[in-house]
Amino acid sequence: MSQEKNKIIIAEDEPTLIEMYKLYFERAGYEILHAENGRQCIDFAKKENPRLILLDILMPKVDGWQVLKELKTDSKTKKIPILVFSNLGQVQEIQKGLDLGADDYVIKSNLTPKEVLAKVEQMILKSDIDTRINPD
Amino acid sequence: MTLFALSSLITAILTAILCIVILLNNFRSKVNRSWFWACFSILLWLLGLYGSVMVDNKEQALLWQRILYLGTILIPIFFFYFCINLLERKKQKKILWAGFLFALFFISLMFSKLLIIKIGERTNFGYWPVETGPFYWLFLVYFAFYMVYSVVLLKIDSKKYDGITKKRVQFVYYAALIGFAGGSTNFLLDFNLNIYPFGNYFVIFYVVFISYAILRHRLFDLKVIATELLTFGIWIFLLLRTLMDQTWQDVAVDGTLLGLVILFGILLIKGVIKEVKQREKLEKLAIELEAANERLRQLDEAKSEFLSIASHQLRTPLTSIKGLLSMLLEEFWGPLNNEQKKYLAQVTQSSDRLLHLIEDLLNISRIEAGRMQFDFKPMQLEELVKDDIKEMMPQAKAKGLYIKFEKPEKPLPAIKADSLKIRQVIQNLIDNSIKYTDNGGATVRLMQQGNEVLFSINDTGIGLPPGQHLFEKFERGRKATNQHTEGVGLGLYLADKMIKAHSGKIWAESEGEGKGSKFSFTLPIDQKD
Repeated sequence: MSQEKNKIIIAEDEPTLIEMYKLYFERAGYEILHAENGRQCIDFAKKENPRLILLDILMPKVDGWQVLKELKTDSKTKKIPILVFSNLGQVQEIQKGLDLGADDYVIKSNLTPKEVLAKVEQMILKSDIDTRINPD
Repeated sequence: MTLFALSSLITAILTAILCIVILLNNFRSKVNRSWFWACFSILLWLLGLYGSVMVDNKEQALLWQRILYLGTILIPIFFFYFCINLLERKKQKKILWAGFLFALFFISLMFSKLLIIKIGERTNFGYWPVETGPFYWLFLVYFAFYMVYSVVLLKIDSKKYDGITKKRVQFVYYAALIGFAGGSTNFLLDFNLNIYPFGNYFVIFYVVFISYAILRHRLFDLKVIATELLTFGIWIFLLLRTLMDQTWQDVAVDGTLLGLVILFGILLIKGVIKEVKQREKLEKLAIELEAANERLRQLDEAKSEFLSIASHQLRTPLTSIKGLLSMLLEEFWGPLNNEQKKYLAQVTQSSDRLLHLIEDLLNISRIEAGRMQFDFKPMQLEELVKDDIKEMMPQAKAKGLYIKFEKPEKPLPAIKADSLKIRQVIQNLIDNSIKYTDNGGATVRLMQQGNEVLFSINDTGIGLPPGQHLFEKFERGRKATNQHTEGVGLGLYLADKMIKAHSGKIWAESEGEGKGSKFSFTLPIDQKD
């Protein structure tokens, strides 16, 4: 259980960025599943039961929009919190993300890894509380 | 003279005039020349018709009948020749030459008993063939084939064109239908079918309409044509009336009337032409406008997409610069000495400034494309200002400056605003104060003023000379140009746009150079929220 508690998916195709986040999150005690594209992210989400997904939008093959659509309409995966972190930052793009069911949307370049981690921990905590209130 | 004879004569005269006009109009044009021949064949036919009615002996009648048949044989093949030229068709050349050979063949038969055996008198219509020869049917097949084929080509090709050319081809098509439908009634008497030969009446339309279509190159509009034809008709009617008047009093009255009608007719035609011209111009402009609009819309879409991608691409490398710098500063990979920390902090500031600059540039492009979107929500300005000051504090401290915050006397009501945009404005103003102040610092104040919230930042910096347009693009304090090379003066321009979008006001005050400056903005308090 404790192992699973710290498993998160990072869907990100930029090698420098994935390396950076992986280092930071692993040191903070998380197990990182790295998805290089949307397809892989969906597969991981269905098999690995992660605590949270950090989702980029512009990715090869299947993009983040499609991932949101698939995971948030599937009863098995829709409870996994998804934090969209993208450098697409126009109002309509943020709105689209939230409309598709993202639990939050941040602009990557505005946050340091520390701030992303804080956001992630806050979201996991919230999801824990929600599950305790509404177990099903 | 009977009406039948008179109509033949008038049509013949009109056709002859048109023949000359068509040639004079453009002798070099193949279309004009071929239509001249088509008109000429009609002219022969009409003269033959007129002559056959007017003569009183069989010998002369035979001559006129030959002229009539010469015209009739030539009518379909010359019309076909005209159509091929009008429609610029090349593939029908062989069919055309075959037609000319047939025509020659039938002309040679005119002098034998193979085409027409006997002519005789018909009441009111003069001499007419009463007995036809064995080749007469072949002649009819030839006539019908070239007629129908021409009309079919006109119909098919009218779909290929558009605009004025299409109208002209359609016009010729309908004129040909009317002309030949009417003209064919003249064959019926040849078979002892006692039906009135309408040919010469309908052929007037055929000749006049098609000539019109050729002569009228620019303004081809039914309204103008109808007005002109009607006016000409009235003129000719009045002219004939005047010529046939018996007494000089009648001549005077009809002549005056004719003069007036000519005058007003010209005015009428001119008026209609002007109106139609204006309408055509408007239609053309509307089409152009629509196309221009569509182009603009596409450009706008492309621009928006470009902005989105450009902003994404610019932010991606900055994400890792910012992230890795923050990790270094957090001593993620081991302790740093104070100098390392100091300079890494400066690099961080520069990269943050670069991020802001990118954001500013993108926002300006969005504002100028009319694409800036605002997300108005109730918010607490005080919280936002505190956060911003906290964020800017390291930058001020690095220069040895203070930032003071004077709280409002009583808590401010929530205002409806786009917090991201307002935050950008406040950051820009604080950033400016830090940039242009070397000693002392800045004081930020917030207060309620009637229905508005007033924000101000007062610094002890270089101040402003009078008469500067600070809120325009690329405008900076003159002295600033010498001292500071960062920033392109976009911040205040953008701040102005954003505050205006919130129905607020932004302005600057200064006692003069070296005496510090004060930047303020107001935002309305939305009573409903």
